[in-house]
Parts: sequence; structure tokens; C-alpha cells
Amino acid sequence: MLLLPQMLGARDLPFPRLSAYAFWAYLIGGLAFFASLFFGLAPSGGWFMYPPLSSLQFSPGINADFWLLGIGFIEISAIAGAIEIIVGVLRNRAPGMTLDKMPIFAWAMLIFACMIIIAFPSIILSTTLLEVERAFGWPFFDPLKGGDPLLWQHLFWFFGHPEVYIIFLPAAGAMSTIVPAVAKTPLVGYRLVVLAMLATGFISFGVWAHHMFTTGMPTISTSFFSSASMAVVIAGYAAAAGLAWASCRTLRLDRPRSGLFATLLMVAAAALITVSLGVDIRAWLDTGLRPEVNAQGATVYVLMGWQGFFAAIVAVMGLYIVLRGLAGHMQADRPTTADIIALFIVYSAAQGAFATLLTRLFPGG
Amino acid sequence: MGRWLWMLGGLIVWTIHFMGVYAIASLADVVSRADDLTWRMIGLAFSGACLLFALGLTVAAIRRVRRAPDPSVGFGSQLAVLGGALASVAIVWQALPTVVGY
Repeated sequence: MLLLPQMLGARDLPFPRLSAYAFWAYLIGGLAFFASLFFGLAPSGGWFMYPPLSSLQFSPGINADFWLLGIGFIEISAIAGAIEIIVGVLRNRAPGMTLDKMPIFAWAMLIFACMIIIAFPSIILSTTLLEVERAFGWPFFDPLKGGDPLLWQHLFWFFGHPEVYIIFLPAAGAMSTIVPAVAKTPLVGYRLVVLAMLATGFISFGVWAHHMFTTGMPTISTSFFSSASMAVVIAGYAAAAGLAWASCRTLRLDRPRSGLFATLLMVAAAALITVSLGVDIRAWLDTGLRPEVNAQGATVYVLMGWQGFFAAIVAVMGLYIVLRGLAGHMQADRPTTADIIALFIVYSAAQGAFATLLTRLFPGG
Repeated sequence: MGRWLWMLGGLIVWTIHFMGVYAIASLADVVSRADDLTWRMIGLAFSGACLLFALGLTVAAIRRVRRAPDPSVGFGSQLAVLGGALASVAIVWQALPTVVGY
């Protein structure tokens, strides 16, 4: 929201009131969602909230209701923000900025926003149905009343899996912006990177049932989802490969650059490795290990790769600025030993945190 | 809208193919068995039709790119070529379960 108008040459995004609405809806939903932790009202149905675990029978009290209402507000906020982004990117670009001249980050945000519009109504619908079932006893997910608990799984994962790529794409776009900016050259492979992001956006909607391999779906049906899961890995790798190709072709280490940006580039490389590991591990785990390990492992790795990327930027930049400031010079031609040590610490901490999280979540798993 | 449909044509065909083969297998599961040979052949025929369509789009896009006077003019067609080619490979890949039966 902050960067896009600058990149598009626009004065602002088109609907400031819609942005404000998205912000306040997110605040209210986020408060309902996260504040429940501090009042002993956190939901206890697991992070998928599968019925019947999340039904009134097995999740009595208002814990699950807080989660359902909070999620509803957050998703409505996301859709409002997505409308703002789509209209902003398509209608508010500076004159002469055709699609092939659009910053790659704007492409990533456009695809990301379209994915939100398609994926998030599914979770709004599912949370509404579950809340209505809990509040009024309507039979959406209860098989004894004619409902089907698998309906939740389909609706949840139709949102839940594209969500991974909804998080992935903005960070991928940020990286594809950072690398050429550091290299001081145009992005090579622009069209391939755009295609990879588009393909990721499309194919990610054909993989949701790989979270449901143990539900008794016919093998041939799960095979379709399995093959789409492999295809999206290839699309993801294409994004990474396009980026790597671009950086190999354009990165000139003999050109003067700020050490700050060189460090940024190293952090970007670390995030790429982590995400590649995550995607790789997911493809491997999809072949038949425990579904919850698959989902948790892949999600933690992919999310950590990208969210850790942004956190790591702040950490490494702060450390770097302090060290360079103390040393008395802020410019350098290439990363220093301190940069490399800082990066190593951050990257190791991220990997350690992932391993710890998995061990805690699945003791003996 | 037409420009976007052209640019994303291959990926849209892939989406239709995915939903189609999934729907055919689901329907087969209700009527007889999901991996019943007849239904698999129906799925395979559908995959073949989608593949031909994706290839056709790719070829048409290649021709349009060649006719474009300036590379920057044909950006949409270039994406259509890449998307169509990717969709063709993905459709073949996704049709394999109907060939092998699971």
C-alpha cells in the first residue's frame, strides 16, 4: 500500500476510504483473534479447526467463536485491500507505463490480490457456516444431521493452500526488485518471472486436496492434485530460476555499491534457499508422510523463508549500520566479514527455530 | 478483458482442464468407480482436447509475436506463448493418472 503508488507513479491508491475500512476491519478482527490468547479463550480445535473438533460438542465455550469471527473480519479486510490493489495497479499507473514496463513488484501484488479475491471467500463461507452451525445447530458439517465434515476441509484448503502462495508472491516480487536494484541493471528474464508468478497463481488453486490424502478420496482424484502439486513446485522453481538467472547475468561485483545493499542481497539469497528447501520438502512429504507434518513443515518453512526474510532484513540492517557506523565508514564495495557473520547468525537462527518448532509440534513424529 | 483472456489463455485452459478431469473422476466415482476404464478414456479425451487447444493457442501466439513490429508491442502475445507452452506440458503431466489408472 505504501510502495505501490511510488512504483506506479501514482499520487495514491484509488480508494483511500476502502483502505481505511480494510485497516479497521483488520484491527477489529485481529484483536478478536489474538486477544483471545490473553483471556484464556484461544481456540482449541487445532489450526485447521476441522469439524467435529471445532463443533460445539468438542469445542464448548466461546473460544472457537472468537476465532471464527476474527477470521471473518480479517478476510473481509484482505478482500477490501485486494480490490484496492487490483484497481490501483490496473487503473492508476502513470501514462506510458504499459504492462511490460510495470515494476515486477507491482505484478506480484496484482497476482497476489487476484488470488485473495478468489481464495478468501471460501474461508469466509466456511467460517460463516461453522458459526451458524455452532450458534443455531444447523447441519452443515455434522454427519448425524446430514452434513459432511469433508465440506469444511475442501473449503478450508481451497483457501489454505493458495494462501501459502499469497504470502510467497509479494516477497518473491520484492526479491525480484531487490536483486536488479543492487546489481544496478534491468531485470533479465522479466517475462519468465512474470510467467512463473502467473503460473504459480493459477496452479496453486489446483493443489488443495493434497492436504486431504487420508480422507478416502479416490486415488485417481488425489493423483490429479498430486501432479498439480509437482507442477506448482516447478512453477515456483521457475520463479527462483528466473531470479537466479537474472542475478547471474546482471550482477557485477566489480561495480561500486553500498555494502548495505550487498548485505540485503545476501539475505535475499538466504531466503531463497530456505523457501526452496520448504518447497522441496513439501513435495517429498506429499508422497505419504503424516498429513499434519506435511502441512506444518511446509508452511513453517515457506512462511519462515519469507517472513523471516523481512525480519532478517531489519535485524541484519540494524546490526550492519551499527557496526559500520562504529567503524566510521558507511560505504563499501563488497560485503564485509561482519556482514557474512551477521547473515550466518540470522540464517542459522531461522533454521534452528524451524527445527525446534517441528520438534515441539510433533514430539516423536 | 479480451487482451487479458488472450494473455492468460494457456493458463485458463489448464484451469479448465484441471477442473474437468477432477469433475469427470468425481462423477465416475458416483456412477461406477473413479478409475473405471470408460470414464478414464472420457477424461483422456477431454485432456486431449484441452492439449490441442493449448497448443493451438501457443502456435497462434507465436505467429502473432513474429508479426509484431517491436518486441515491446507483443508483450501480451509473448506471455501467451510462454503460458500456452507451460499449460501444454502441465496438461500432459496431469493426464498421466488417467493413462495409468491412479
